[in-house]
Amino acid sequence: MSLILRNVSHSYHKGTPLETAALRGVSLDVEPGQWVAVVGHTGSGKSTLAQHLNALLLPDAGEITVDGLKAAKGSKDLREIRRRVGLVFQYPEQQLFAESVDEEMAFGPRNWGLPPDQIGPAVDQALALVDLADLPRDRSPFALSGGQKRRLAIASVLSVRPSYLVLDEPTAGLDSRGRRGLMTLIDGLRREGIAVVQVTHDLELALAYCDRICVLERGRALFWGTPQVVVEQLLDRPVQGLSLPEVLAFARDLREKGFNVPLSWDPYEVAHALAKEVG
Amino acid sequence: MQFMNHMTLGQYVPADSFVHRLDPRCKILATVALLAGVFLVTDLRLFPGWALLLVAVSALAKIPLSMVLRSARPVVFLVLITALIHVFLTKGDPLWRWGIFTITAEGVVMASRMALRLLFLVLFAGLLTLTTSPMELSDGLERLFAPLTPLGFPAHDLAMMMTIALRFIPTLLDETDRIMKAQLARGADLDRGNIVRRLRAFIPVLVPLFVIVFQRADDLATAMEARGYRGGKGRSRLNPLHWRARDGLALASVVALVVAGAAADRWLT
Ligand SMILES: Nc1ncnc2c1ncn2[C@@H]1O[C@H](COP(=O)(O)OP(=O)(O)OP(=O)(O)O)[C@@H](O)[C@H]1O
Ligand SMILES: [Mg+2]
Repeated sequence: MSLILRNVSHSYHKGTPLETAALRGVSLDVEPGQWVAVVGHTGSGKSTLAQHLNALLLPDAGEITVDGLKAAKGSKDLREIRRRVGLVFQYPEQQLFAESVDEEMAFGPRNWGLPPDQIGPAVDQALALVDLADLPRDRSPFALSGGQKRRLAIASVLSVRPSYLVLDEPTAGLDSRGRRGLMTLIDGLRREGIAVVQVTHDLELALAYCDRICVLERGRALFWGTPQVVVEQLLDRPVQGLSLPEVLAFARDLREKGFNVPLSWDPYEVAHALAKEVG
Repeated sequence: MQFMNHMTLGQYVPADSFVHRLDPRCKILATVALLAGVFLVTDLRLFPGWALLLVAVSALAKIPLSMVLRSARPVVFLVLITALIHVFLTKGDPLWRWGIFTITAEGVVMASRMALRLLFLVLFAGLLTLTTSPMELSDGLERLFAPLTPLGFPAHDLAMMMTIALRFIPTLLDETDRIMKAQLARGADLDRGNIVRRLRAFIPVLVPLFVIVFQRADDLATAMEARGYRGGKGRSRLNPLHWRARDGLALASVVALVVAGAAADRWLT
């Protein structure tokens, strides 16, 4: 049971002068309960990749399977794949449309044909997951604060109980507190057994929170692995538009000067080692 | 699933070609001449000439013919309806009869003429927008209509409105595409059921779209005012238009072709 991409390629406007290759042979897999980050410079293909994960876009070449269901043109399983893989677009608050929080939340469950008596509990559960359990249900979604809108939009995707949740730049436009809050929230989802794929251009954030990182450069999955593995590869070969975390660059420079500090992006770890070194 | 992939209408394809470099006023006037020509010429035997011209200009503009043809896609349905109406409703020598339906030789000729005219209209207009950026287009129109300003014609404001509208069409299509995808990801069923169901299914797309559009319009108005925009009076331009010899020659050739076409048409009928 996992989400598997093998050599996935995708071009926009195929066969016209505007043709752009957005993905070139990307492979990765997402296991249940994992938190995977997709990191890259703007235009590297992150959003394109995200839309492949739930079969909104289909690959030109390569293969995608979700829990054994194949995402290919004409497959009968596309709808089921879209239910299993929830996709939250960038600025998801822009897709709110209903007159009340309740209506907004029930949209997904109704679309997927959940029995009416199960919609209420599903909505309650999803709102609790994003810390909005106390929200008055007859409020207009448009009257909520920015952060509440975003969490409501995420909850509206969670309300159909997906096994995977893909978030495209979920922290865009949030302050550092909002960002941390969202990260705690995602961590909670993972504890519920939901696998999370988070698209971000913030490498530091990915290193701090995620289990696996996929680094994209111009549509290619350059690196793929645990934070430690990806960091080692990044030190070997810089990636266009992706700067190393400052602490990591500092640790590398210290090592070059002969200090025995770990190649870490955690400021405390590096500071501790450095303190030991200088006595 | 790329919903808006096939919209070429009004899309500019940048390229370095003779046609792209022509003054927008020349291209606008030439297009007007061609549109007039398409209406003046009635004889079907002359229509291959338009096709030839279309192929030649596309080649000169370095735009693949397939792309030019695609700009007619949005009107294919209209063309078919027009053709059907003319086929069945034109009186004349019956060729074929079935119940209340009669097809006449005149009907077939009339239907082909109308359908082809409509197609060439859209294709020639398409060539203009494929080779002229929205900025150039509205600049050209503004300059062409400037002589009417003293008579109270708001040439500048109309041109500005057009520039903004054209500028935002692709953005709007992108937004629509994005919101449609977002609602699809939430299980929306946008392409099944009867027309009422489909319209209802579009509410989750339309509401966010309206919100975004009004937000955008508001932001844009604020941004323009903050930067001191106060209409066309005393406004200078960044890229003044230059009418060169080649523009005159190109326009003259097109007008000559149209006149020749109209004359040939007279002579044939
Ligand atoms: N709908 C589309 N039509 C045509 N080209 C597109 C479309 N969406 C993306 N592209 C192109 O595909 C490439 C990858 O885009 P994508 O949106 O996946 O990048 P991204 O990594 O998400 O960037 P960002 O960080 O700016 O969101 C870019 O070159 C982009 O111009
Ligand atoms: Mg993106």
